[in-house]
Amino acid sequence: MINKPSIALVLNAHLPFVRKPEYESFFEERWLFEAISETYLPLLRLFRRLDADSIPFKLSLSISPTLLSMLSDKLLGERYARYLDMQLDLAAAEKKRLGGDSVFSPLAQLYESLYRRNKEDFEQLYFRNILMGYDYYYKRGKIDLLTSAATHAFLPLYQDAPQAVLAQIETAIVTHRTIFGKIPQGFWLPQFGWYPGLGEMLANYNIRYSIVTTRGALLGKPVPQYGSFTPLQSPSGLRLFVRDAGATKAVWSETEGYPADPVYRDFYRDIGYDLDSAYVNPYLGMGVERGYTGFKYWAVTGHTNNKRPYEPVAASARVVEHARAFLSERKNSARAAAQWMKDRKPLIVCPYDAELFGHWWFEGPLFLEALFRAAARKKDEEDLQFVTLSEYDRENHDNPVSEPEFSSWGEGGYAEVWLDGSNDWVHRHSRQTMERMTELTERFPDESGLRERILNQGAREALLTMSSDWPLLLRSGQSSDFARRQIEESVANFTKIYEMLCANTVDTEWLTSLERKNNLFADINYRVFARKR
Amino acid sequence: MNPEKLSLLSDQELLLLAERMGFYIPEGLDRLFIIEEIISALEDEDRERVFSHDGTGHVEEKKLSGGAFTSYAIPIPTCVPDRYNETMVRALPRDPSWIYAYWDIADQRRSSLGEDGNAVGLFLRVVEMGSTGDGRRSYFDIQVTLDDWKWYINIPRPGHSYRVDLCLRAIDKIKVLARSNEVRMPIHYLEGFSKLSQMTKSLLILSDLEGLHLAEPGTDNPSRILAAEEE
Repeated sequence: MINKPSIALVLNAHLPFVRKPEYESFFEERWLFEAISETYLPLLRLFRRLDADSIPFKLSLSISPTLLSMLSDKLLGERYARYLDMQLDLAAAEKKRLGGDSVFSPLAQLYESLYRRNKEDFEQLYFRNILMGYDYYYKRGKIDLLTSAATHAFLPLYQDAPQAVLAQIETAIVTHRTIFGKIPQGFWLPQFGWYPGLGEMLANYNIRYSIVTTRGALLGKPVPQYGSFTPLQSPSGLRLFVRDAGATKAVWSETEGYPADPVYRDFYRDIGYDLDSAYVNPYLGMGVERGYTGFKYWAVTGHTNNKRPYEPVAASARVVEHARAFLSERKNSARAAAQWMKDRKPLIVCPYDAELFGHWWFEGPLFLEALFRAAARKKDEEDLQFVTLSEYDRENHDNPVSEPEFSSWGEGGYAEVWLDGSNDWVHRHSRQTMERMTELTERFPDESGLRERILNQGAREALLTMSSDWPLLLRSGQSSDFARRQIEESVANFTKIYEMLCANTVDTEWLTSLERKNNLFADINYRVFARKR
Repeated sequence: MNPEKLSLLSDQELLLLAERMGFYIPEGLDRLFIIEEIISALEDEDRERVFSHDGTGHVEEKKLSGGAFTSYAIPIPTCVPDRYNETMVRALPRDPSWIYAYWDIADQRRSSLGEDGNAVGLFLRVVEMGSTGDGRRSYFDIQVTLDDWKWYINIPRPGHSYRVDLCLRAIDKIKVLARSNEVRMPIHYLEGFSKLSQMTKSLLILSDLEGLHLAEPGTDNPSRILAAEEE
């Protein structure tokens, strides 16, 4: 049993599936390239540095199945290598443009170093497959890898379609096992979407634990006697860790959180918008007028357009202060809780989007490193000990039984983000697709050869219609045309498959082309959509 | 939420909504004023939300940030059906107070409805599941037209289960065209806080019960209850 107050850091790495082989280059594929450059590779470098200095670190990381599919894809790997070359060309152009400018030239140099290190790691260390790096630390027990729903579906909106929820879970587990050779023990709920009864489905697949929002837990039945400071056990036996509200606010809040500190690098000011479009165009791709290049030279400064130049040294020093403050605040919180918890030690669970660290908050990976280094120096009885969720799950068994309430981490705490006037039309199509896919599994329960191929592709397209990312973008109005197109394409692809199967015909050329394009979940089995008895 | 939608609510529903939003409505206040109060409060909340931007969206929006253009060189016409030509109604729980319902009526059925011309009265019957003391289910109706296909329904009792029936009112009877799935609505607030043990109350407050606004409005501030008990 873990007999110290503990803290669990949990990151969710996820991107929706975007792969467009029919185009020479495609701007939205850069979402992946930016995340690899600014988050996924820097995280691996952070692990290596800590390892080299014998600093203990424990981290739980969910890598979503769509992201696993993209990170292990050869074409996207080639395109990322090309992207790195382009970024290095831009760095060279920037160094030339900035000449001897003592303030900005070193910043161009900083980005050149970042992309050069990324290129070395990607090509020479990981041979274009960075999942090797994560697998290494996973097998050594330093990090815990969780899975998530196959296409990041917001599961509460499918609670009356259990076969769709099970298809998301089963496909996720199979994808994780194919890549890491292990069945995942933990399941990250996309958008923290939970509803009563979901635990039983996860437990049936031998998933041992998940995480819920503070709201969901506190409104659970019965009321959890230890609040968010101890995991719950759902009636089906699933362990449910509870998000800590204080830790969320400290890092997450765009206005009050650490990333809003004036010295940190500003996310929005980018030469892609600041400089002449003719100059930046060649680095953005065909036909792209404006966009983020990743070259950002200004500090947050405050609510002003007169930003100060970014100073990496000052930002690095502030990161250490923030890491200490974070640990100290969590320790105080645990100490206050411990006064009321006589038979156990509090656990503080801190879950975030992985891409927050590095992509948005440029200094985020340094913050994580500073956390582990600061924790390693602490020896006090009340100091928090980092744990992974699986480690805690293994060693602590006696948790209060409670069924959390339907909840999410979206605005309002329920389903408003994924169900409003901008995106509610999606559900009619997505649900119809689910039902038709289930119907197909009943009509064709045991197919092989070409028909099995088309059914498997139908299952991929059906899962893609359930992605929670596109409704979110439709609501925000950002990239909403692109989001709409993704949903429409998946629905149209599925509808064509359905109609071909109904007419007993197959357009083999079209199918092969679609299989090559939407090639996620290599080991999918269309029967995941069958109604379970 | 807009004034048109709010005007469809009954006085009692408006009062309930105002109460849930935490403001006091003097007895006898005209419903137009209540609607104005609610709209104003919602606008403030929206402004605050845009400012604080603490939801999940802000990180996801940044990692999926693009340029102001369309990547697709050639707009390929996609063949997404407008509808699926079936008679159905489905209900989805959006939050403790709202159900989203969508429906369709198959062409064959629709054309037979059209023959009845203006005699057709299409409506949604929102049925609360579980019976009242006398064994009857409580329900309320919402008039819709043949052109409608979706509705956000404000429900009176969070934490209860509902079903939505798509109904047709003929001269002497009501015909159910389709029946939705049953949805259980989540709750807004933690009930019975004062009855919990001192330990649990303290730990819930330390867990940010108040910051998340999970204490039931109208009850005393949980911290104050706790402080009084400690004295």
